[in-house]
Order: sequence, then structure tokens, then C-alpha cells
Amino acid sequence: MDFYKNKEMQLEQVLPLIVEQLALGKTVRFYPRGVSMLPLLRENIDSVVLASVPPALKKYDLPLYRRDDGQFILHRIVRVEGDTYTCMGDNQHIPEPGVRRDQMVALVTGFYRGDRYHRVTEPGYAIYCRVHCAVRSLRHLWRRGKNWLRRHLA
Amino acid sequence: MSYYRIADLTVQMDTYGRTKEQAALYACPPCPNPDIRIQSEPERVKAAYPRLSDEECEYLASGSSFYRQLLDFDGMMLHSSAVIMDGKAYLFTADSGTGKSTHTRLWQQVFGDDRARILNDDKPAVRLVDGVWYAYGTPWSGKAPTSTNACASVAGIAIIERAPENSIHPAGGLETVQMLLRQVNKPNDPRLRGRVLELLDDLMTRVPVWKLQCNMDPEAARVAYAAMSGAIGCE
Amino acid sequence: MLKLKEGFVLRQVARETVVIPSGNEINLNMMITLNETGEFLWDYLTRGTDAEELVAALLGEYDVDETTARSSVDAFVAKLNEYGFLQE
Repeated sequence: MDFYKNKEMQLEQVLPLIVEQLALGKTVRFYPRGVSMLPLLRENIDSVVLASVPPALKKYDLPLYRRDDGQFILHRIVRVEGDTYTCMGDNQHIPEPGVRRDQMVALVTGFYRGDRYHRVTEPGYAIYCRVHCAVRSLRHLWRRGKNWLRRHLA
Repeated sequence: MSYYRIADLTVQMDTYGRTKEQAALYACPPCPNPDIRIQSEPERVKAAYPRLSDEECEYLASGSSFYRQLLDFDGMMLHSSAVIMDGKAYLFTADSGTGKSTHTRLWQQVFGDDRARILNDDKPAVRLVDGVWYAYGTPWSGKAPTSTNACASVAGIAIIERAPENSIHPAGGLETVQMLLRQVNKPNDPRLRGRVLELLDDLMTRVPVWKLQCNMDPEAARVAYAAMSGAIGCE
Repeated sequence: MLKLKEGFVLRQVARETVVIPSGNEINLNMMITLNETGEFLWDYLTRGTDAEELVAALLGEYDVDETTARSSVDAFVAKLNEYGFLQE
């Protein structure tokens, strides 16, 4: 005999609730799926706290947005071009241009890494964002180089 | 008044004891307009750490005065052991007691102490000059008076962790930033604090940062050197 | 004594009944979706109850044997505790 359903609700299903909570000035916490925001957000370990989208978004902001196919995405803004944004996960190398303001659902204002809460305004996080975006391609090259060597020297 | 040339800056400093002894290497002729005038306030250090001797307080206070003024010359001191090899500087940082000095001694053991020279064992200065980060010896080299009055561009910074096996990877993520933030002084003055953050940001962007997991075998030095010097890792 | 902490409310979300905190932050991964029997027990939990009363209520309302009812209640209480819904 069961009293609750074990299935997890999809963001899609709870979107009205999220929108309502954010509009009331409340925050929403959830555990993002996938690996695209590594090394910052580890699946099933780290969670983010979302608040409503402010009037202007900036480079390095981390919004939750919805693609036109309905998919929810949590990726970092790496470029602002007029009224659209280019977004990319910290663990990705291909940017997604043309994300519109009306696709933005919420903005990350803080996150839990394990049990420890971090605000996005703390200095360490700000440095992480800038440095990570700046050296991303170098790190990628290093990994590829090392794999190449492993293949050719082994 | 005595004058010193530290991190390519002229420094006026009146000091004594260990600070003076360790500064002797950097002495230079008097100069009418020094870049930095050390105003050490050992009594403030004494108030915070009453158990330290007057001489130790003077050492910390003079270092702190230098550090605060260095920030306006695009420089800071990074808690690390630095070694110069083949004209490049390699910095190893970690919380105290992890084995920074032990590791740089391995470099000397493996590559010879004429080729691998200890630049500074505790607080080398790093400075951004024309888009390049350089490391310099300073008199603030910890208890061991191990410093070299030399300068070299920084090839890499490694965060040391002890491990049974030796390995090295590019370091990234929030933990890396937090780790490096722990290894620099963060003045209370908001403007200077902001400078520290800006400089650290630039340093981490321009200089490769590694996580070195190592033991105390000479192999650790070879593993670190191979990656940090760029001998492996690029197509 | 089993009693819900203050500030949890039942909400209809996407045609499901979910338990959410009425406070300033909701955690989407700590939402429980109740079914009809869950909703039935919820009222008891809101005003304060114990496992015996829940089992008795289930036996009176549903066609279920006591062993099943008891183990189901225990599992439910464990789940509510895991999510931090119950008062200490």
C-alpha cells in the first residue's frame, strides 16, 4: 500500500509553481541534471537556488532558460549581444548563441556544493567564473594533447 | 635609512634582526624617490599575536607593509615555495605542512642545485609586467633564509596535495580559486582587497594552475616538471 | 507522536497533489507527490497522530490487512522523516 508516488516531477510540470514562487519573491532549489556545468555542479551532489530574473542579465550570470523545443537548460552567459545572450555550460566548448530574454525562467543566486552554501556574489565564485571561461580552451587542448600522446606513445 | 631593490622596485626600509639579515641580499644604493616606503607597525602584530617575539613581529609587519604597497604595482606575495629552472619560475603552493619546501628540494635533488635554484621558500613576490607574470625573491622567505635575488617569468603554479602516487592535472573549479585565495593575504581595506582579487584573477587566467598529487620520491619532481614546463601536453 | 512541521501545504501541481513548504524556499527535489491514500493520511498528520491511529484509520477506510497497513505506514513515516517534514 503506497501513499506517495515515487516518480520525480519534471521541471515542465512544476513550471507554473516555479513561476509563481519566483513572482512572490521566493526562491526555488533544485539539483540540476547532467555534466554540462562541471566542475561547478556535480549531479546529485550540488544544487542551485533560483530567484526571479532581474531586468538585466550580465556576462557570467547563470540562468535557467527554456529552449524553444521545451527543454530546460542551466548554462552560463558567456556573451551579451544586445538583447540576446550566448550561453554555454562550464564543461562545454560549443556556445549556444541567440538565447532570448523571454526564454529566461530564473537566475541562480546561490548554490550548495555538498552542504556548503555559496552566494554568487562571493569573490571566489566571481574569480572562478572569469578564470574558467578564460582558460577553458587551454584546458581542453591539454586534455586532447595528453590523450593524443597516450595514443601515439603507448 | 636603508634601500633595497625587491621585485624590481626600490624599497626604503629601516629594520633589524632577521628581516635585516634576509634583506641584505637585496641592498641597493640610496635613492631619493623610492617606490615603496616600508612603514612597519610591529605593535599591531604584537597585539594580535602576543606570543611572537619583537623580531618576529617586525618581520611580519614589514612583510605586510611591503605586500600592501606592492598591490599598487600589480604585484602580490603568494604563499609558496618557488624554484627557478632554465630561466622559468615554478611555484608550489599549499597549506602549511603539506610539503612545499620538500617538493622544491626534490627538484634540486633531481635536476641539480645549480640548475634548480630556490627563489623563495615562503613568500615570493609575483608581479604583472607588460602582460607577463614574473616571480621575484623577497626577504620574506620564512624561517629558512632561503631566497635568491632573482627574477623569472612564471611558467606555472601547482597546488600540492600529498598522495601515494604522483600525478598532475590542470586545476580548475571553485576549490582551486578558494585554495589560492587562502594563500594570499587579504587586507581589510576594501580597495586593497579588491586589488588582490583582480590580481589573482589575472594570475590564474594567464598562468597555468595545476593540481600536483605527489609523494616524496624524486619522481614527483620529474612528473611536475614534465607537465609544467610544457614538455608534455600539447599537440 | 507524529506531527507535520509548520509550514507544509498540499498543492495541486500538474494534476498531482504535492507537499511543498510554504516558506521562502521550495526544494523541487524534496517534494512528495501524494496519492489518494496519502492525502487521506495527511489530515491526521497535520493535526498530530501516531502510527496506531493511522493504521486503525486505514483499516477502517480501505480493504487492507493490518500487517500491510502497518508496514506501509512505517515506510511512509520514514520517508517523511527523510525529507524533514515531521516535528522532532
